[in-house]
Amino acid sequence: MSFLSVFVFNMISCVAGLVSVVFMGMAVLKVLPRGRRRYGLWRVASVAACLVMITWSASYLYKKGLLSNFFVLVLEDYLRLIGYACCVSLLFRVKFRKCWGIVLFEECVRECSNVLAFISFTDRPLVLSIPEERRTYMFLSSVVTMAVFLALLFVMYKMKVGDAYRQWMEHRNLWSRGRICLSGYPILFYGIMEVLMGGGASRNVSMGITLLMVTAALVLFHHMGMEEWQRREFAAQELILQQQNVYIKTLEGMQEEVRRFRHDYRNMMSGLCLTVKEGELTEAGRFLQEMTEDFDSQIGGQIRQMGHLSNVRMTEVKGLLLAKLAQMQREGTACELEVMRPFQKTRCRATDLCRCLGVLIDNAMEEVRGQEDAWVHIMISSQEGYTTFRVKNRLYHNIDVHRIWQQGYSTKGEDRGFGLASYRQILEGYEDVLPATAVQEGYFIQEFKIQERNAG
Amino acid sequence: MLTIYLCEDEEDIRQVQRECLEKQILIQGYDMEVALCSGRPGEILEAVKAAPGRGIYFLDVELKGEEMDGFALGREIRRLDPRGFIVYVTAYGNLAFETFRYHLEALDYIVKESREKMEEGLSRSLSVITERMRAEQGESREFFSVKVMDVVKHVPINEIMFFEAAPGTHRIALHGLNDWFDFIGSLRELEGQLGKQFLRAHRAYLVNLEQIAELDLKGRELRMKNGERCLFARNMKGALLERM
Repeated sequence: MSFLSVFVFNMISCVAGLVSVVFMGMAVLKVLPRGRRRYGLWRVASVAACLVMITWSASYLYKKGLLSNFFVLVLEDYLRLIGYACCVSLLFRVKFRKCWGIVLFEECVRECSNVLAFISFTDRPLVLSIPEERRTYMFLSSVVTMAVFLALLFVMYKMKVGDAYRQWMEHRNLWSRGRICLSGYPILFYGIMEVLMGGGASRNVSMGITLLMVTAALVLFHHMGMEEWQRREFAAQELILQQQNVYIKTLEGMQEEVRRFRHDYRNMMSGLCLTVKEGELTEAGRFLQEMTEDFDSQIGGQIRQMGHLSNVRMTEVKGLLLAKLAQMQREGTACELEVMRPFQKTRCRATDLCRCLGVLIDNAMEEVRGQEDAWVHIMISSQEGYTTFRVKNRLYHNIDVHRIWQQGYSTKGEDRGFGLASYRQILEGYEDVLPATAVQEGYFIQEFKIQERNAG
Repeated sequence: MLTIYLCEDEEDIRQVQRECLEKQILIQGYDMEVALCSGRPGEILEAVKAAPGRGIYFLDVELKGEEMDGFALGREIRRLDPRGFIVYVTAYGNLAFETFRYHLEALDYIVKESREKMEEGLSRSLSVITERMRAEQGESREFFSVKVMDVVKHVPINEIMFFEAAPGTHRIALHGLNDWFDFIGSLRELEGQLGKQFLRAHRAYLVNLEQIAELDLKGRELRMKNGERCLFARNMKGALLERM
């Protein structure tokens, strides 16, 4: 076989591999964005260069007969995987980290189907220099592997493995550990096979054992990940439950006050009746005015606050706001919450959203704490496909707007100011979230705006 | 001359408001005129469309039986008259006023609790508007306006330090004296829009020449007047030294 034909064959399988990775990312893991996008010339050129590089190196190593060497084989595998990840990253403008996850997942599934295909149809290694054996090899590695691959995908789809894996990938801490382990997969795979074959086991037996071992390791690891994930989920739910309790307590307190007011109001009414009977209308008018103001100051404010709060339909955010409102009330900070239109959901993940909003509110509370006219204003506004979160507070220090993002910068002394740095970091992970900071007429204003999917 | 539009669905209150406004204009000698008082938002919009110009709008928040509420009406008016003054009138004290101010740049709000309070509110609004107009005439600063999703932000050009482009996206960060925010745009377009006061000192930076404090030639950094730093490209050294 000439170098050119090897190259062409490799190129075809390489492109097929890339298509399969993209398919995996889009349909199974659902992490790649859909929709049409424009590609610049250099982007297309880089992808092409990447593909050519992978293909050329594989063909070269094959022609030189170096692929029988274990280390070269593993190296070539990594080269190919990194190349795929680069291509996907370039094509979809997604972070390399994410692409690497997709590629590893695809590789695992494909390798499994490959091994299964070979185990079920042959019982010894095929010698590629014999044309007949080469044809069998090609048939097995393309058609049969493809069939097994699709079958595996179907099983995984039914078992929702893709969704579990995606959730796993989205969990920062879990994923960083998982990624390192999964990245070792090719070494592990070829390593075990090498050891077993060296020990004299037949190819099929060693392949089978390797497959089983690797699968077992993956399942175990997956299980561990899921467990950790469930633990966190449980903790989060616990928190929501606690916050709900606070909510109910607030409502009960309000009901109590309404009852008390009703009692007072009866007394006031009888007083009013008397005044009217005596014909003192000015006095009666003043009386009515006072009563309205009383009601407003006693429970009107709380009802107002609850009205705005009930417009927040995202449980996690509602819980956070409740907790912060209660805390501010304890600290004697006046807090106003404005949610004019119902706020249902947003693109931002709930945990990230709560962390960001929490940082901003904490920051505002910190600045006004202990001041006589302490005041914080929180606004959530959903309008025409955009959601705005805005926290505003009175300012008692001079602030350098450009320095607040620096880790450790704070107007309140050392060992503080870490919140905003992590806030910035979280928001940088989102393409359609725009943060803003401003100092305006003695107020400090922080906001972030989210463009929801359907916004024009 | 500023034209006043009034949208209020209750006729008695509308009449009171009109009388009060006309009285104030007469007493204070404001250069204003009540053009239209109506309970129908559609009518107001028609009138604004027919006579474009800067106006004053007193809008009821709750418009019963109408398709549009005060907020939606305010949004439409903003489209027609970006520099007009919008004041809201509401029956309840629980107006989400910050939201109105944020989205519609509303000036103030008046609670129609009692006749006295309403009159007081109306005359206060008129005097604030006159004050604003006077301040604007003395204002020599130029503003940079940019659309950030659903709102437009204005920053005095002289307070902008530089624009920074985030790599790989269309995101631009404006670094100002009192502002720091991201928006979607391109440095090339900004360069054309802002003119000579700004220089593309680096692939990722468009710098306000008047805000540069010093040039660190060794570190190839610009130190701005607010202490912030940004980079400049090697081949821009000459242009910087020449134009600073």
